Amino acid sequence: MDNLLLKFMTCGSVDDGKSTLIGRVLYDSNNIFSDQLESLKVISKKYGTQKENIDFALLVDGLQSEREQGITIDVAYRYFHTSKRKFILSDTPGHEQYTRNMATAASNADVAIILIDATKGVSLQTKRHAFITTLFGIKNLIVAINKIDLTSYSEEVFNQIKMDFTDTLKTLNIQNTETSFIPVCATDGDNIVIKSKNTPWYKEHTLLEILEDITILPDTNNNVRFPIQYINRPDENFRGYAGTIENGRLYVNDKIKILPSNKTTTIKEIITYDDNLKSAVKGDAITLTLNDEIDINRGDMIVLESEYSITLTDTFEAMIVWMDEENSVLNKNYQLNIYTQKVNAKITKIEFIKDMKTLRNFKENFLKLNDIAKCTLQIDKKIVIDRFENIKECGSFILIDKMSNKTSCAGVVTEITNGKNENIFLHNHTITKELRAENLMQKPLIIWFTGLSASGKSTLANELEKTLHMQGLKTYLLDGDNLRSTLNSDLGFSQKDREENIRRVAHLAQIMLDAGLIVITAFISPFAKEREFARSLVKKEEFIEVFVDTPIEICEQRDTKGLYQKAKDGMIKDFTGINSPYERPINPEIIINSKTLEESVNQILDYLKMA
Amino acid sequence: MIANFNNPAMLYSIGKDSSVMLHLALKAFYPAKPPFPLVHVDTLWKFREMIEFRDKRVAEVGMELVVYSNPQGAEINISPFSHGSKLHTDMMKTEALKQVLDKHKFDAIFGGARRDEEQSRAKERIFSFRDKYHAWNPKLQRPELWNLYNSNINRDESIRVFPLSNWTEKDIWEYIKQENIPVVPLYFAAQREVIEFEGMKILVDDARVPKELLKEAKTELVRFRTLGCYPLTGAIHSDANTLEKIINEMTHATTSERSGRAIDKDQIGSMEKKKLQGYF
Repeated sequence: MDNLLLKFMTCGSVDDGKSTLIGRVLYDSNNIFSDQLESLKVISKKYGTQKENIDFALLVDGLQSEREQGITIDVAYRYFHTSKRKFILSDTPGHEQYTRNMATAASNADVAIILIDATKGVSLQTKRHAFITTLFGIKNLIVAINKIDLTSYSEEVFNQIKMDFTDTLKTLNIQNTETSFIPVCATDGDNIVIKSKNTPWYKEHTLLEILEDITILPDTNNNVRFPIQYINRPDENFRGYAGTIENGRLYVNDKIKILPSNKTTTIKEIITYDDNLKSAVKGDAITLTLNDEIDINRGDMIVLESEYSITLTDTFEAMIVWMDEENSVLNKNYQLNIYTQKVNAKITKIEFIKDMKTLRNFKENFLKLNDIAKCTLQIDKKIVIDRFENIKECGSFILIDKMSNKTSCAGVVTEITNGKNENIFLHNHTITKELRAENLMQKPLIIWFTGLSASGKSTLANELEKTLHMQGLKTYLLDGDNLRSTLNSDLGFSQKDREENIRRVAHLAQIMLDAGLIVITAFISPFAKEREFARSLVKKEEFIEVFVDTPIEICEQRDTKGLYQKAKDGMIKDFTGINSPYERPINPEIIINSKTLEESVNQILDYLKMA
Repeated sequence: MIANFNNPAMLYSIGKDSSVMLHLALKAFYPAKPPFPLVHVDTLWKFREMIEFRDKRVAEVGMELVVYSNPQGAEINISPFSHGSKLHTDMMKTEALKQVLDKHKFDAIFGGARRDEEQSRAKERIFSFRDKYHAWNPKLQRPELWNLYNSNINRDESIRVFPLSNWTEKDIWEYIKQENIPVVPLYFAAQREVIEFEGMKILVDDARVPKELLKEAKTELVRFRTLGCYPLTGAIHSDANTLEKIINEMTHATTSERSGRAIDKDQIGSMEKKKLQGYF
């Protein structure tokens, strides 16, 4: 039965036509009962947006309060079948304030349909959906490019979106996924169940056909994991260990060890209600009896004795999504549930938070609702933990707030860090950044200038520092002049050295920020990756990216240092703008273009006043 | 799950879903018996065949059975015919359930509800948290990721557990067939004496059917897709007298399962309102 079952989710917003798409799939595959259709017609008249026609969107908007608001606020499930397969569809809203719902749906689905509005193309929302779904374990993506009718069924638009999406996966470092693309029009049903005549250039399958035929990428790791769920003792003579095999396959007579106690024995019987088995595999619910009497508790893990490399873990890194209205607190005691095990856990460090609006990383000391972050966690007991990538079932967990009993977060283990970094102690200094800043009577900041050579960064940075200094603020300007001859004097101009240059600048700026200063940096910093790294080291509101957007023709004309000429003559390799790319910032806080020096400084000062 | 609670129980409504749930519990705890009682909330208006089936089945499996009825119902001689479906359901199902849970201090209750039954149930959790008044708050539900459930509760709070959440009506019947699970004979088509009541075809199950309705009684080939209180449960025309025929009928069904239930149609969003008050 399970081979035939496909669990999939849909990501997109009401505006992308997601609910309509789902309604279409159900309607066109004859999965709407006549009494539901009747009640839908009644509701359509009351709440619908499609005048006299059936509003398919209303079919999937479940709760009454949501119906009235016209939005879905949770995960809703739909069950349907075709002659080939059974389906469970989970539907979640797409805005960033519903990140936790999307994570929930992704954790329970095999496939995600990502909806893109053909008239809008790949948006930040699309990127967010790709990021969250794959982070929580989905390996098969279907990109439905909707409203293709509004582009006159354009193949070019389709191909462009396909290319952009593939690039997105690359930039987000999403690997091991399979993606199919399909042009659809949900309101008319094009390529949903029936192949559209309007897109003759699209030769692949319809959406329903893809769902019917898709094969889920199989697990590659076969290590046995059998966590004990329940000790079955109906009488003195029988002692069984019940649970579900979370990974691999177990046979009668297998040599096994029980962790964390590390005691070894062999399997006597594999018992089920129907019959005793010779072997059992991932997903099977069984009861084991063993050949030796060993003290075993709920949450203990049975693995094969031959798995020598397995280690017990009490410290690991994870990507987590915060699901609680109450913010996280570092080093607070939470309850961690992982497979059948419950332990005490604390978040000891937040490496970075990914801003779900911009997909940028930043630093903060706490997590709030819907934040996704990379953290280090410590538990009070050494147990078996796997990386999520290797064994999903033993690498996924939730944290529960012991006071409120709420599920505060869910996470996937990315790295086992036992022992590593053990000798680095982060001292908690008594004097903090906040105290220093208070003493200096200012808000510490990094103002990061980026732009082509001769775009005017240094001039502007210098003028800005002068103005701030005159106002009594404590500033420092970092640029090539004071760094290349000192801290970075060992670095040349190769790609690698230029990256290292910026890495050091980023950290130095972070330290000076910690000292309470307003740090101004003026480097070309041509690569988005480097700038994002610098941003990720500090809090969201502490980093201001200023893009000095002077056209290259003007920079070349100015050529204050004669460098453009040298690059053109082939005397300088990897010169930004000539033979090395400049990646334009996508969402900088400030863009400066064709203004006088004074106007530009004022523009920045205005921003600082507001911030 | 059982390891997480002090005093669990299984709500046994005698229907097909309960039959499957009971079977799953028997399998899960084999060779032991499930370490909790079955609870039946008797509205006093269940089909007679249901009660017979219940007593026979419970004796077979050898589990403890708790039967409870709201005493107020007997006092006022509650009847769906005269009091209407809303009052009857509020008093004999919703209230009665709360009373029996309070009386026995059950902190976890298995239920056979499925998400495919009704729209608001589609948003129900598998572990559904209830406050000390047994109320469900759809805005404050605990997220459920992978197979990890949060079973933490404080005193007097409880969790309703719906292990069949992701099963469909068709799954239920296919599993009943595969595992050969006994069910109440009312699910199979037979010649039965029925009358029209509130737009439904209901069974003349006992002498409490009002006389004026009996005049129109006819014998027809019918079966029931769901079972509840007999005056509130509509029969359908069907010749499906075997599991194969039922599954086949299911595959080609054009109406949903609960279309035969009066209580879902009291008002728009009626199931959601009942759930907020503590109904299953």
